[in-house]
Amino acid sequence: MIQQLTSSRWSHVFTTLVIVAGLGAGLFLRGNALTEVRIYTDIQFGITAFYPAAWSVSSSTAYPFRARNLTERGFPTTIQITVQTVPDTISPRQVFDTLSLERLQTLASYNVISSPATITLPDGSSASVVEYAYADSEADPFLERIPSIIRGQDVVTIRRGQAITISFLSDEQTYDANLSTFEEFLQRLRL
Amino acid sequence: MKSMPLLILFILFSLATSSMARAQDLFDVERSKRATVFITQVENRGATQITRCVGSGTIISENGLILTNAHHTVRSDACPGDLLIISMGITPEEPPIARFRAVVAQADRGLDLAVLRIASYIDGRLINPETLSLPFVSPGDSTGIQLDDTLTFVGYPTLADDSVVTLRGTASSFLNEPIPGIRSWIKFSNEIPGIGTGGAIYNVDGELVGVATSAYRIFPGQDPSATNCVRFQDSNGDGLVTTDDVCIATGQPFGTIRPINLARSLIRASLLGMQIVSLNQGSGTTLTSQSTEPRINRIFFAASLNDAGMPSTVISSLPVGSQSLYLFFDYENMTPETIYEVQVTNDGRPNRTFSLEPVRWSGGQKGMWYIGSTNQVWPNGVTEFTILVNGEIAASQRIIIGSTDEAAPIFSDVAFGLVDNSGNLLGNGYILPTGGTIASARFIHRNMPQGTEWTAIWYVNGTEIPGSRQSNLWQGEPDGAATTSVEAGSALPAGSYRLELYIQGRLAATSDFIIAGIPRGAFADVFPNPRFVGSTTTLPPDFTTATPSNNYPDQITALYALFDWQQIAPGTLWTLRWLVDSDVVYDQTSVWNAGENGVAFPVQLTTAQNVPDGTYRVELLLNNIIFASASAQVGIGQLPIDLLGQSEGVQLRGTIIDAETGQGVSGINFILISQDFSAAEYFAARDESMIYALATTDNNGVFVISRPLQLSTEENEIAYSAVILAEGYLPMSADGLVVDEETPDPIDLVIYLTRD
Repeated sequence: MIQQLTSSRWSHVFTTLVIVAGLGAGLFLRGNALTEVRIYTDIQFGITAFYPAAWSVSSSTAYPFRARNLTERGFPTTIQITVQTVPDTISPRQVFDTLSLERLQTLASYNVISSPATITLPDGSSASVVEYAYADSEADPFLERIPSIIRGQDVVTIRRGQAITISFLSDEQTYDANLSTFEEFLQRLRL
Repeated sequence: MKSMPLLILFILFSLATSSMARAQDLFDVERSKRATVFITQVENRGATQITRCVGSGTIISENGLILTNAHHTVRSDACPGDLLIISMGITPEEPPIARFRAVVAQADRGLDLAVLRIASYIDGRLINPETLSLPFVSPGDSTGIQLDDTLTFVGYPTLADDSVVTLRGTASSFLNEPIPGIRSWIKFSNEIPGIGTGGAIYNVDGELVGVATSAYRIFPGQDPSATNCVRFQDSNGDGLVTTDDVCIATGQPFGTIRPINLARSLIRASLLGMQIVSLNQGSGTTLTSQSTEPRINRIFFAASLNDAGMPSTVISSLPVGSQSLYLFFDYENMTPETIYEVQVTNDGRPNRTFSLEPVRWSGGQKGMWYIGSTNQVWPNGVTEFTILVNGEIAASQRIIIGSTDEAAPIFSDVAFGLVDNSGNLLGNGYILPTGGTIASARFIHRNMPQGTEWTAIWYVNGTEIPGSRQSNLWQGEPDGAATTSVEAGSALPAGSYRLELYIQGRLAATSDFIIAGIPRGAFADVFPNPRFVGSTTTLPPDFTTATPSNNYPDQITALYALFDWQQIAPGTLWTLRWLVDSDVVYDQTSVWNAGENGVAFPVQLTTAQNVPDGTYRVELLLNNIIFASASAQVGIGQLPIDLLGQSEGVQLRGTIIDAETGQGVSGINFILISQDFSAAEYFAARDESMIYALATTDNNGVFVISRPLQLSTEENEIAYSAVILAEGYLPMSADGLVVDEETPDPIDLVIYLTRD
């Protein structure tokens, strides 16, 4: 009887341990899935980037790198790198002004919401940052969608005769929550 | 994805199967309705925008080309607005909502046709046309329309109060005019509401075959309360909406249709982004007239036309069962903004079939015009034609059908030649070269008793040639051919000539001809040395003297057609035609105003970017006869294959619903994977180059895939995959989505998502 009780107690302990281990493994795997990254390399522009593995990546003539979180509902949080050949004398401010002029033509209620600030990139070089916002509305005239406010951040660095703009775009509601993803992206970015 | 295997459940496709298979349902009414837009021309007055003109239009390309009329879109006295607003209903059952702004891509004011290009959103943001994927209909072919064929009008009926309507009717007649020629107009048996002008006409196969066209206008001095117009804005800023404010013409019911083939050159030029302009400013020569008011005179009937568009004979009656009748008249001081109308009555009763409702004038400033029809039975009785110009009666004429005097003397079928000093006959009948001193006319006569008085009168540029009038008593046989001529002391000058033949004081036959160019053999050389000059800059200073070539690289930004001209009188109607790979992209008939002789008449072709590869050809015509042409190749000498192509396939749309609540879920991305990849491959790679199209659901859970799905065939199966990944819901995917000829278009999916 005592032996049976001892055996039963051990089995309870064992079962509990298995459950705890399973939960731990599940959380570990989920955490891995959420934080797992993929590597993107562009030899032409000398870009090496690590982006969330669940995001979808693309490149085009307009941008060498773009990653979007298409699992997100509404506007997909986006990180994009564009490269533009510029004269040596250009300043980041002039790059921002050019971007603003273009965006004023195509984005509704586009508004720059911060003055250019200087940050230091992981490789020790400096870059300029500007925040902005605009309204994203439905392009299809046959769909009904209330426009959402998109908040963005441009990080501009000029090197090798190129203005490299790293943009982060997210719905205003989730901007702060997603900003850490962009900060991690910047930390790992090699230009 | 490797560490957390995706739980793939299912996609529940509930295809909204239509009762008829796609192949049978040839006229897709819903698609045609969705492609219909309401167009508002607006005048910017500071912070206020005043609506000036309205009409309907039809989207003819997914990137936002719209086919409509010119009169309510191109800036004019009647429509002085500077902004075009494009509205469309969210569903075909709803009134239109302003969505876009458009610009005029191509227009022909006389034909009253225009192609607009959507350029920006309603708030002014520019649009990249390549990102647009609008519902559209492809232009068909209007030559196949027969009398009594069923046609359907699709357009807006009221000033933005109602949704798109469809009206069925038949092709009740075809009306011919000199410009553009045979089948200038198709008459519709049903009455199209005035605001429907610019709307589409479809045949039974659902092909876009015409543009409903009526240029109703309110003229100064007309009683506004008696006209069809609406006031709803305080346009003069006095705080009240009164009769002093702008009244927007809503038109009157009409049945006039411009065949789609007349718009082909405008559509092609718009698709290619081409602009063709004459850079010659002219010699300042304008046709003079004692009055600037439009005038109509010398109105008469003819039973038929010859190849040059001249009346065969002048008639005052027709026998029973006559199938051809034309009204001829002279006009002057007309402009493309002149509104003209022809009201036809039979024994006093209006005859809609052969009447022409108010339309834009498509001829020149001055000349001879006709309107009529062939191969259609005209009813017996007294038929009266009344011509209205700018809303006022300008002329009228009657003819009796069903009774004719078979024994009446007749002159007919006048043709011309020029006799040179050697006695040779020059010219092709209606275009004669300069250099001759004698112009000769050959004509047919019938039932001419000897001793009958007859008269010939010759005119040049509207003035009787002194000494040309010949009144004689008929001496020849009653039936046969005869000749009359006019002789000048020196060579007959270039110009527009006319011969009138009278029998006993009654106009019996008349015809016009042109003397132009110098003799080259028996014919006239009017436009020597046609050539092309290409340029890498838009307007190089030396393009008129640059060395011409027939081959240019594909980096040129402008192509110039140049030609010299000789002995062509101001006022002569001439036609300039451009073709690219044998397709006409420009065809304009206008009045010559560049002096009698000159070199290097420049016509410029430009596009938004480089001139596309192709074989370019310019043709110069008088009286529909080509007098000169030249060709040049750019790049490989052939347009890129898909440049004029339109995407075809099946549209995919649907609704994503929360399985728990039954409500549509907003903000969900529906990812359609291209045929080359499976859903699993996309999950593994997360590479957007695998995505065929991406759509996001709206507030109601509705999504629309912008790119049409390509049809599978027996030889080529195209299988798409679909993926839905949404936070808070179980992911879903499906492979092997195939559409073919039997698939309903559009496909409507209903997809239920399960919460995780």
